[in-house]
Amino acid sequence: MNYKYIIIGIDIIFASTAAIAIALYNGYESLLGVGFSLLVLGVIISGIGLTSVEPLDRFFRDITELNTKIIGKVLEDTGLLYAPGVRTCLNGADSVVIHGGGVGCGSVRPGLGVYEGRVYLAIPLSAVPPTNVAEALDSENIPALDELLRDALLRTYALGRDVTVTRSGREIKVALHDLRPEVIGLIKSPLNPLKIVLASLVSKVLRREVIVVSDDVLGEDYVIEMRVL
Amino acid sequence: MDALDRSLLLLGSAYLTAVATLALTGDRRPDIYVSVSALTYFIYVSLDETLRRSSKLAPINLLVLTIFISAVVYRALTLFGWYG
Repeated sequence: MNYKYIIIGIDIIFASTAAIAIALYNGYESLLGVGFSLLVLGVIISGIGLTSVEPLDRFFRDITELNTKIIGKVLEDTGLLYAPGVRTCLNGADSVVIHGGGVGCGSVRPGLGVYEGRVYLAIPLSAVPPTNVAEALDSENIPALDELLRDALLRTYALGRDVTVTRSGREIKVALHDLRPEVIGLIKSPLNPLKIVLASLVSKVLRREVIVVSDDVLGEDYVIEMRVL
Repeated sequence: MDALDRSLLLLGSAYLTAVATLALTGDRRPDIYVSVSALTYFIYVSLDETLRRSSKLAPINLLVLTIFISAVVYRALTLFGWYG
């Protein structure tokens, strides 16, 4: 609720009511129209004042920064900071995306764990956003990979201006062009969320396990190469 | 200036421009003023993302739509000679 707009709206309603009364009393038809128009404007501004809510962008940005710091510390303490390999494992309900180099799928479970002496962080595939892609994949007509990526990364999240997908054999190269500066900051964080999202997305769409071969920020572009297993 | 302040200022300017233009052309039909106002509001809201994100516009939209439909129905009834 924003009292400033409510008061402005009520003021306009009072002024318009006066204008309508004067117009009706004196027979000024043009003033009657202006009065009714202002009455509608007053109602609109009061309504906006009554229903307005402060945007939470700033809060979410600060929380993301805090989470990034916490995760960065955990990764540093577990030695995962310098093991940036990301791969997906499709084990039915236990499908995960793994952050941790050289870990096979085997009996990897969601969460922080150790497998064959190597530490890993496994995130359930179903928990990785965006969720609207899951709906698209459940439908009968599954869109092409580049169309799904375009929809998720550009239309849903507005991360950049364009996406190009190049496939050669089992290699898939995704380039996200003209990234927003905030996204470049996130990519450079210890647990690159875009790498996790892209690997999960490609894995979900193709229904195959993928491993991230390389990823790099080139100017304002982000290029990630994956191998389908 | 706050983003919502700017949005409302622009909405008010667009609104008053439309109404002032009608008044200057000498239009005397109140329902036309109300209809043009409602359309100005809907067009502006469709263009301004800040306004859509900052407020829950559904009840306001419903109210303005009701006002617009009433104005159109009034005009139709007047044209057919069933009212006024």
